[in-house]
Amino acid sequence: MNLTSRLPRIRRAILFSLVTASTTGAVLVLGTILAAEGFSILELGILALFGLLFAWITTAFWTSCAGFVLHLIGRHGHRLCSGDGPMKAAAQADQPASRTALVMPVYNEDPERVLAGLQATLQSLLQCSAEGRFDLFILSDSTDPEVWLAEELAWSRLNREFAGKLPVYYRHRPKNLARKSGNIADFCESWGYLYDYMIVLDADSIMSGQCLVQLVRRMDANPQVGLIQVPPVPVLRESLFARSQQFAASVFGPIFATGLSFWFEGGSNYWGHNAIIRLAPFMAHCGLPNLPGREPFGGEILSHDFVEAALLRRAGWEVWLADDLSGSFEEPPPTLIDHAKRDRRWCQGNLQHLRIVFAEGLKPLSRLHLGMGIMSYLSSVFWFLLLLLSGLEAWRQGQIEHSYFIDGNLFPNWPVSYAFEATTLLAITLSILYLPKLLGYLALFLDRRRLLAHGGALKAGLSLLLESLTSILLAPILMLFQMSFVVSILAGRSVRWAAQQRDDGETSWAEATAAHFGHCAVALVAGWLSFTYVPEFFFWLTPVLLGPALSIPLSRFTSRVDVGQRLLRWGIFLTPCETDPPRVLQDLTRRLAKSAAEDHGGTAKGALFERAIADPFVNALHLTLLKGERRSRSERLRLDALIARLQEQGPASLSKEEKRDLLSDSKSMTSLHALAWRAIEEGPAVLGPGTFTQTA
Amino acid sequence: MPAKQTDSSSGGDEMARARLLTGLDRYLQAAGVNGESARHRLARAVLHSLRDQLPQSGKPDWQALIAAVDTVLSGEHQIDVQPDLLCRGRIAQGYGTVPQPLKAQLDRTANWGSPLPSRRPMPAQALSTWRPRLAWLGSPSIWRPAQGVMISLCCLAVVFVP
Repeated sequence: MNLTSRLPRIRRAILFSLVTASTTGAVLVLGTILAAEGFSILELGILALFGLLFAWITTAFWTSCAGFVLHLIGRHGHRLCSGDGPMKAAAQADQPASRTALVMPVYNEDPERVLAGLQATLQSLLQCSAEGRFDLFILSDSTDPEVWLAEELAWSRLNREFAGKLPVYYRHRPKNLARKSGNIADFCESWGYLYDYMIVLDADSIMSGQCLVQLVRRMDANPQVGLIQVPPVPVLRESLFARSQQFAASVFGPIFATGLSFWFEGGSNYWGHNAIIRLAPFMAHCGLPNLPGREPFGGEILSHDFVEAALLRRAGWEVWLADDLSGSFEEPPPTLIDHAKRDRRWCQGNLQHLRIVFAEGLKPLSRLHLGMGIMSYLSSVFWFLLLLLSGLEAWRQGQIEHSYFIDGNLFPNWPVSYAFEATTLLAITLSILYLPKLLGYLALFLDRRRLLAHGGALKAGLSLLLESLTSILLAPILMLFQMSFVVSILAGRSVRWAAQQRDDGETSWAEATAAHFGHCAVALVAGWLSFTYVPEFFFWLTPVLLGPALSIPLSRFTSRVDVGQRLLRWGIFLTPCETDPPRVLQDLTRRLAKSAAEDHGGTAKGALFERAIADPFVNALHLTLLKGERRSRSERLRLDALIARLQEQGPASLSKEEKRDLLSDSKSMTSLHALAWRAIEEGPAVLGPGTFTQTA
Repeated sequence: MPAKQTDSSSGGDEMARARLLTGLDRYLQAAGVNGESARHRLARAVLHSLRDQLPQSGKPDWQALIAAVDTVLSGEHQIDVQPDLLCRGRIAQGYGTVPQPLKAQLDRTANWGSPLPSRRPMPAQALSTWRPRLAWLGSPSIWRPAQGVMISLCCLAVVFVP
């Protein structure tokens, strides 16, 4: 085994040693402070929790440090390990000859946004002369009848725009088994055999053509690689909360991604979208089983991405993080509450990995990724417990009087001050938390264009301070959110599958009060208890309590778009995607503005169900996309009864589920179309007042 | 008065035919046929294709009319349709000036929204929990990193504990 092949192991050993050494050092210092008068059970608990959490934050710290050093010497994570050879050769190769499917699973998403994103991505792809090598699949699991029909119309427009240049396909699943992973698996099982690779996009994903082509080239050049993930950069949101997140991701994200890529190399992870996957091994080794037992820990695997990466690795395939590729974007949640809602879903998925992390045959690094995913939510519970135990310990210490004379000892037992050690430990902990931010800021100075794109040294520095302040206030709120999620999941409550909020919807006072009333109460009670019983601890606790105590106005304020826009005008939280947006984002913004100004045949207004019945084109389009399904006699009778109700009482008398049932049946839709036109000819009385008369 | 009866029935037929033509005209307009003369021509073609049904019922039902419209529009746009997907005639019309490749796609692919699927199931992977085995304890590949960790910890202890 030569040095090059041992390099990945050596790097991971270095990371492991750094984390272990820093944690051991910090635990020893804290242990010395706590052991002054012997260990109590409380103190042992504090020490254990502190060690666990310190190791957690230290991992992120050393990752950022590695990333910063690599940026400093002008290298990226993966190039060091895989060598310039294959990647460089791949980059110089001609256009890829392999066939790639771009797949976008959608579930009740805004079709206009999905359409604009895909148009921008495909347009960018065509500018890279990639005709004939990419096909697009829109894989719909939408259950809302209006969204389903709007998707079909959007697909038809997309198909018309790219006809002859790039095939665009649409598939709607009547039953969304196994959610997103089931949707992707259905694609693989049906059409996977046609393609070498698939690039998975989320509904809010945007990828430049250059990035897509580069991903395919890298896969072609590295046959041992099963998956390449490109870190998605959050963009396009305008609320204060989202813009601070976008700024943080833009400044600190690159060094962190480079660090991750450096440590993990071919043992990296999959984040669910904006990644290219080699289809043959994925289909052979990534079929997900149902976990035994009931939800929330059993049943379908929710956070499928980590597990799929682990399964690919188990089968001997490499998983890479392409930290050097640009042109991969996504939209962050616009508000704190939306962020928490997304966290709720992820939390259940990640905690479910407790059953998978010890699965047979997984690589140690895959177990580490799964463990880190679990820890990202459990850490909130541990932070909370640490605060609680520290408060109790402070109170206990306040109750004990120091005894200067111990029986049998002639010399007085003077109290020893550990103020210096305690202050040093606090300073080290704070440094480990905030130094990565500072390193991200310093890394801006390595590239003048990047620094200017973030507003220059002064404004970027001001933004950094403001972002740190925001995160200090919001972190304890997120801790309380995540703790309540963990508790509710452990209590057996499962999450339902809801579409993500993707536009800049602001939080109302009522919404903020409902979401944060509990946080506010916890902060006030904890503040009162500590102030009354352990006043000296109260002042230490103030930074943690301030955020939750102000959570209601804070949540409302950070959701405001006008504040975000004002800061944008002042040059605060600027990112390169705002100052000099790439062409693909410019195209998306232009298309969204155009779509908002136009009304594509009433698709935005709703009432598409009525159009699907009466409009000859919409009806025909829907019928051609339906799969013929045999219906039982009782089901046919039920559908006929729905048609009769529709005729007598109009579409408002049907529920969403009933409309969906009718839309799923081609025979019913054909009959309804004919009935609608008979009604139009004979007068509206046949089909009920005002029904189906729009088209005529 | 047989002659008079024939007159009234032929007058009634004419009225029914006129109503039918009006209805067809509205339908074709809704389907995207904008030119009046084109609609007129297509409506006559539809009636011609339904000539076998007309004398019996006086007026065919709308389902038959719509199917005939689809057939005529398919012919107009020169697309080959399957019996169960007649509605493609309306789609071809709805697309207006359709580039040639899309027409080809309409012709050949049975399932228009996606290519022909071929079910190749993804086998569900085993994720049963790992359990330690006795043989594992004797594995030198496990012990070497562990030894490294132990040595690192001992060094740290020497540095920090005093």
